[in-house]
Amino acid sequence: MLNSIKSKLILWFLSVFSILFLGLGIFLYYELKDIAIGSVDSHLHSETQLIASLIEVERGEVELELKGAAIGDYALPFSGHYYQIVSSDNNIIVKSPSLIDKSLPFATEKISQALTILGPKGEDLRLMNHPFELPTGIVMIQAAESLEDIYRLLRSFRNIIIVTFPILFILSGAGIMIITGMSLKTLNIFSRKVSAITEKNLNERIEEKDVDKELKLLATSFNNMMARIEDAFIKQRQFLSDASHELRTPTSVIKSYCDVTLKKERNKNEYEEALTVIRDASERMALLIQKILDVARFESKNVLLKKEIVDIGQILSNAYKLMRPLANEKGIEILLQDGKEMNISGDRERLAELFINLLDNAIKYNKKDGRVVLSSTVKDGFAVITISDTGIGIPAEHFNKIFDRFYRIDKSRGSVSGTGLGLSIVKAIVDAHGGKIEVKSKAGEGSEFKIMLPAIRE
Amino acid sequence: MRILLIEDEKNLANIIKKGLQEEGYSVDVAYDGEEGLYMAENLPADVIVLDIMLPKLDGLAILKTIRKKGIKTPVILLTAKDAVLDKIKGLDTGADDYLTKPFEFGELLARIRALFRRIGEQKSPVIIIDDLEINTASHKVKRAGKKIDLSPREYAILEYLAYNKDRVLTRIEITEHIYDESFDLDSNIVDVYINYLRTKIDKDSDKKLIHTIRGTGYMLASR
Repeated sequence: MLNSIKSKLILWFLSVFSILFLGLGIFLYYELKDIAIGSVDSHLHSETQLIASLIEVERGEVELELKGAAIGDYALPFSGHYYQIVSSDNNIIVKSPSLIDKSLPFATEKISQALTILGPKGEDLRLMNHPFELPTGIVMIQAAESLEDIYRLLRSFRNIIIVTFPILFILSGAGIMIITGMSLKTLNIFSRKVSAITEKNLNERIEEKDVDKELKLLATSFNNMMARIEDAFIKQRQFLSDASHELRTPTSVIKSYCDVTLKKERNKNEYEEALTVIRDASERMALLIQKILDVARFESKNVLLKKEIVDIGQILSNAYKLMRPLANEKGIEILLQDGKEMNISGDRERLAELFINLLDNAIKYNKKDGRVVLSSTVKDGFAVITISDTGIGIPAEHFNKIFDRFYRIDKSRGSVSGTGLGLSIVKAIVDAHGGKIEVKSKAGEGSEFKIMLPAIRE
Repeated sequence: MRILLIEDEKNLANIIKKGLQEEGYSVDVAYDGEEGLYMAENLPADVIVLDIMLPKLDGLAILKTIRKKGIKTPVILLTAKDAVLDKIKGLDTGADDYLTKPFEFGELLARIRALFRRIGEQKSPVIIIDDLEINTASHKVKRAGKKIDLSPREYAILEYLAYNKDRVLTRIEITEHIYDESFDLDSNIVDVYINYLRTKIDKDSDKKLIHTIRGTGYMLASR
């Protein structure tokens, strides 16, 4: 529950709402109390002023006469409105009739101050002490008023807060639920789309114009991701279909030879011929499967290069020595120029495979009395290896396709045994080393492959 | 019956040719698209077995061209792709049948026979003319219920006549459909074989089925 964005948002909102609302309520409660007591105080202060102005001193006796409106609630017993005048030696000179037989507590200090005390009925009273100078000496005028009214006001304020809080809590909770629900709707669209994706509808995209501004970026990255996955999937499917297509030809040779040969009794020569063809076809299948696995492994990046510092010159010279007998056998001259030492970080075996593949092509697609030249140099921080031949060449329109898997320029070259995978393996090896490969060729005159691999600076 | 096989994989072409020849068919082989198109346009074939992936010119292009030129020879496509779309495309271009590699050789034979029956508007694999029964699937021939043994060449000529029953076939037509291109068309070999067939089929019967149409050729009919 708590790991849903919606419930987190609601929880957060409601906590903040409660703290703010209750904090404001408590603050207002005390503020209201202060203001109310302040107003009582100022009323009491004016009462003391009134009392003071009505004091008369006759023959050394202090007298106070409140009449009419001025006496008001002071006349009613325990009305909550009291006054008394106390002499400096703590004798009550006059007190309001409302006090009956009780009195107000005497001031402990001879200063003007307001304080809350317990009244004659046990209720809270606000008491105002006001020292007043008479010809007979200083007297303390005390006026008090019950706080019951104030407390009633505060109580009803508190009740309002207590009653409105849960109502507002529920209402705003519902509101925030609707709002978050609405703003999370786009996420629901996302999740529905995402969960509906299988390998069959990888072409589905989220309409970016239907998505809220904040989620556009997510939609864009999601769509880009889908495009990449779709692309990879199509490539994979194409590869599978190409691979099975390539395997069908030798399979049908084997099958047809078996079917026809088994139809009736054959002589020894016929059986031998059939078995030879079948053996050749199965060898071709084995080679194809090996190459297909190589390509698949490279594509899935499962092959981690065993990188070490290797001397490209050394690898080239080894490849040259390995391929020289094959070239000689075909009457092709093979030359190695510039065997300079060039260190790069790479996988020794894979690099050897790279050059052997290219040399094999250069020899295979060469003419009689042709020539293959291997050269290497360092340029702009790259080891540059060039393999050129005087072979049949590649027509320009095929340049960007020759590195594609199973691509063969002309199927008639099928007579020259090839899988159509050699150059795609070459490209994969170059890419894995962070290098580049370029091809220049003229049909009928020959081809030149240029490989650039990042060199180690010394 | 003469079959043109257009297939670039030499081993496969050779074994299919051998298998078909053993069934009594004459077979011409083309190893690439251009050669295939030339042969399809210029040789009298009864069925063309056509691979789709070919060097120089692909199978569908050959098919399109020959159909445009009005050549109605039945075509069986061979392909290494089994995508349904490719099949639809092939059949829409004018192919009569379709086989995916690798195929059962027996299935290729059965489909070729089915196409032959279609030429002769024949629904059953057994062709019956009067009391002569020719089973094109098993190559067994019976006259009035009695089994007749024929050599593959004799059978091929009889079958060709039977598919075209009640129709006069010239010597050249017969030769062209029974022998492949390496054969000398001027030879009177057809007359020799027709004689053999007459001996085996018509000799013991009152009703003669093989008729000589003077100045034209031969006909198989129950009249």
